[in-house]
Amino acid sequence: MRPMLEARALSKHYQQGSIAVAAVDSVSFSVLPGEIALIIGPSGSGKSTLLSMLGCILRPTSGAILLAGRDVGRLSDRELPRIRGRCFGFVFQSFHLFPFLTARENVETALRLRKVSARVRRERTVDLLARCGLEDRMDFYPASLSGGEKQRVAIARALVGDPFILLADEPTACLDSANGEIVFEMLRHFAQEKGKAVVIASHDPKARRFADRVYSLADGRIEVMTD
Amino acid sequence: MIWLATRLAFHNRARLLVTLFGVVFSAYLTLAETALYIGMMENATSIIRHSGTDLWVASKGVQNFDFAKPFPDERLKLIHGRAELSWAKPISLSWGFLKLPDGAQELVEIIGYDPAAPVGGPWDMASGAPGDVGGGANMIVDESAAQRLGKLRLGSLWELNDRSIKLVGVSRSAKTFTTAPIVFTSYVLAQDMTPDVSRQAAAAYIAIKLRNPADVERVAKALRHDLPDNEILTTSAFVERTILYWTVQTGMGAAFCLTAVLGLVVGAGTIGQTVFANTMEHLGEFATLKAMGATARDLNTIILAQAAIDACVGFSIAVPLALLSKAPLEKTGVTLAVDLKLIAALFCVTLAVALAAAYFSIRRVQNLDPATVFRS
Repeated sequence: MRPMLEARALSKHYQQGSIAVAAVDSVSFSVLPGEIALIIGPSGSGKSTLLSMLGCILRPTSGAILLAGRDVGRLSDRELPRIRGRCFGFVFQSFHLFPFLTARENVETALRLRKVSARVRRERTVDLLARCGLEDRMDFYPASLSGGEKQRVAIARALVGDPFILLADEPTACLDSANGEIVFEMLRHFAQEKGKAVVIASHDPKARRFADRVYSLADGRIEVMTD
Repeated sequence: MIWLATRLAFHNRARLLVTLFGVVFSAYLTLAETALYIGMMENATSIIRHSGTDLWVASKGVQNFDFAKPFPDERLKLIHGRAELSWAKPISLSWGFLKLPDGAQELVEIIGYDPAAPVGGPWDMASGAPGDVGGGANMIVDESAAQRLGKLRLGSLWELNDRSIKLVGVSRSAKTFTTAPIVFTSYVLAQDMTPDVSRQAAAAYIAIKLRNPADVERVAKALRHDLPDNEILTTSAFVERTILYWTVQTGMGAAFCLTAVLGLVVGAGTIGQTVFANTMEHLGEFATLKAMGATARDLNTIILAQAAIDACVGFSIAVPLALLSKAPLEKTGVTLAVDLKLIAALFCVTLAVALAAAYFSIRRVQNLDPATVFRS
């Protein structure tokens, strides 16, 4: 089966004075449809940089990123936002919900960016939030939601556009154990039911139970990979 | 994206109120200053524009209507009989004192015209008719002077330059730049009342009405030949010259322009600062939107729409305020010329300035690295 997302010898170097520092160094990585790939590693190991490159947010210094076999690393600045909007869903450690929008409006924003009609937007948003157990929280602002509810809204926002790949950066870092479990269950459900790829960067030991592949990153290099 | 901009703009109500206060102040200032300037220029040129004249014969170097240098009215004979002229009548202009019922005196501008001719006299009457000034010591006073002169009752007797004179009509919209009340009398009476003997038998202007107004340039050229010691001006040229005089030579235009521009600068500063503060406060959300696939156009729309919302709301509050202050100001003799054209023009200027003020916010968001969303 062809990987949904593949990185080939991906590197990102930053110039600090006259010295080039490698945040990510020649990383090769792949995730198949229906799989959850977990990237673990200590702080500063390059997890966030790798996720940024995989999500077409950050351009690599060298190497290739293949999305369903297509090299997206060399796309123009005008094409990249379109690829991000259509192919990726993002879940962030600190949620990054819009504080001035309700839970429903937060989720709808992803569809508004894709110019989806109001009727379809509403149907899909309400349906997804209900499936995330937030039917009675739809008109609440983020400030009135618990951490677990916020992360579920963020996941709903990432999934509502039906992306091919979901990239989650420390999705349980701000949650208690029970809410962490719920979030991982949701991500596994998304991967298995929809046949989509999920990449998670996490410190959380529970994450290993849900992952199909685990990549261990240290100093910007993949050290261990387990299936 | 305008939806998102609206939510962002109205999210922080306190900030919005402060912004609107600044924008309303700035828009009102700009609107009032411009309307005041236009009103003054309309007053300064009202008689030129409305007295039914196609050509004006004036003394050389005339700068504006109110400060005319008289010339012998016998020069009228030099152009009499020209087939192109429908009417050619002298107009006198002098200053006098009108005694008020309480004994005080008010400086007035006296315009003498031929009551039988359709040029030079009042053009809009509240009561009476322009021809009523003929046949004796009669006068028509503009209703705008009521604030200073008191009740203008038809048939009442007044004292002008120590001579008894009867009020036979009240005109409308005849004003001058100086705001001195205008008194219309017959040319003959005005000459008779002039204390300066050297000014008797002297006209300030000869007002000419053409049979065919389309011939105006050709006739003007011919009259320049016939009256080499006078200046021949079309109505539009006289209007331009008068406006130029009051605007440039008195420095008044620069003063008004500076205040109006300051108003715009205050507005631009307020909107620019607010939009920038909003942008900086929500950089994380902008980065999230970028990561989610928002294009540069989407993000620019959000920022520009916020500036436009501030400008539109602020301006739409300032306009009724300006309209409300029109009547009280006009009671004091100050004309605030606010009309739909001016409102539309200033709205466009305010909007353009507001959008330009969002430039720094746009630059900030354009340079924003969306990868920051992965850094907690």
